[in-house]
Amino acid sequence: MKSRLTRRNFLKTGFLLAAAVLFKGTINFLTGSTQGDITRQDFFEKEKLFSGANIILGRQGLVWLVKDEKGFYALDRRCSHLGCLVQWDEEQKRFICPCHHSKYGPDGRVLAGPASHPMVPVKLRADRKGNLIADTTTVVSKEQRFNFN
Amino acid sequence: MAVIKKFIDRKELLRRELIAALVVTNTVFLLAVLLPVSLLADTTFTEMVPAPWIFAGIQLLLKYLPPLWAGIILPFGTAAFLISFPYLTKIWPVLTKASLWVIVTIIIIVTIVGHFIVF
Amino acid sequence: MTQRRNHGLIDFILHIHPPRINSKVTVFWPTMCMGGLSFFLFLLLLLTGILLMFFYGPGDPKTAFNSLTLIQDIVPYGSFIRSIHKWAGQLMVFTIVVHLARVVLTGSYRPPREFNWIIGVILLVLTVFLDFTGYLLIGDATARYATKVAFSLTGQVPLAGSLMQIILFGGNPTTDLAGLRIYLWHCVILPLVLTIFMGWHFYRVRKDGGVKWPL
Repeated sequence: MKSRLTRRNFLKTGFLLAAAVLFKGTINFLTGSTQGDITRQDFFEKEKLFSGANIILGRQGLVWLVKDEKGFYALDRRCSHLGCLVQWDEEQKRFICPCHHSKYGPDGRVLAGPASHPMVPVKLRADRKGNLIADTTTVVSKEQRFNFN
Repeated sequence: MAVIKKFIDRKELLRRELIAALVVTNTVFLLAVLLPVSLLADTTFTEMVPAPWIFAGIQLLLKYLPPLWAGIILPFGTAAFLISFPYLTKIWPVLTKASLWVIVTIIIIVTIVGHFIVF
Repeated sequence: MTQRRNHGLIDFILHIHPPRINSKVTVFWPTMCMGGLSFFLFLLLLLTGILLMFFYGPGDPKTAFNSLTLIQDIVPYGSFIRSIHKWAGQLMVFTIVVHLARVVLTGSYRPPREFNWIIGVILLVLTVFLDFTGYLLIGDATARYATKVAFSLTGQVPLAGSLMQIILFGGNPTTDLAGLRIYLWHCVILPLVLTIFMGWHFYRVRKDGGVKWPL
């Protein structure tokens, strides 16, 4: 079989090549630099921790900090249904999602609504001054508590 | 006595279109003056966030159905059904038309319930 | 006559109109002018939308919301322009739906017009997406929540979900990039596609025999 560089072949190859490069380039361009998780940490001032409130919202509004008899734990504020930010209802003692009314107990377990998964408990650590920092990229077990020694 | 013409020409058609455009423009202006859009203070919500009326139905479905069904399959399935409607009527004329009206009724009911009752 | 004609736009507008049309279809019934009105509303939306772009700050929700506060409270006639944009948008969805219902009732989807029906449905879907993205651009708490919901729903799309999340929102609904992308969809891409399909729709109306009686 002999290959011949006819005008038709030349144009065809050129066109396909350009189309392939353009297609691949466009897809890679569009999916390229995505802004991933930029602010996924939340912050709780020391003074607020022992002010009497048992449910505290972080400064960034990303995490709920809950205090029970065993210690502190942090719950990612995103509703497990579609990602809206849940609110704490002081009267009913539960978290309520404003988008589709999912309801969670203070421990994060689903009480009602379309959500099928509990709220996600995330890692807590203290800085040197005694403030608490929650990192939503690290998931911890439900039973884990943070305590100042 | 006015003579009713069977056909009108291009100029007359344009003139009538202009009148229609004028009426709708002034209607929108009137709406904008009488019911101006406000900007809600950007507070955090403690109760619920209602979707705009067009999406009230989908919001209601999302409350009771899995997200894949409420947010993807049902809305886009409806669009797919609409697209294939002229072709389906050729095969099943009565059934297709009946399903269209059933779907329309469901959409209207779900929208009204979502907008005025639930959210 | 070999008179030189200089009114290109007027010629074009005349050209897309039929030379003569049955007077039965030009009264309010049976078409209710809903298709044509949708187009006028779109022109109104383009005009007010471009005006709003002179002040709107795309990007993160806070910038967007602040720029809207500026439009609403400081810029003369800002609130009026915004209200027109909003009401024309709501009305446009309404008139398109009524137009679609009319086309079903008069059987105007039948051959040879099935293809134009498809374009029409695409126009409806595009308009609904425009309505939704416009709502996201407000940048208040409601819009931020809706953006999160839209992002999660996009992820539900089988197979292409996460790829679409990256292309449509830049991968994260809370970032500036997401705001910029929504702005791009609302102000550039969707109106452009809508305009192309609209032109096609009107061209097909005449090609398929125009508005005639019986419909």
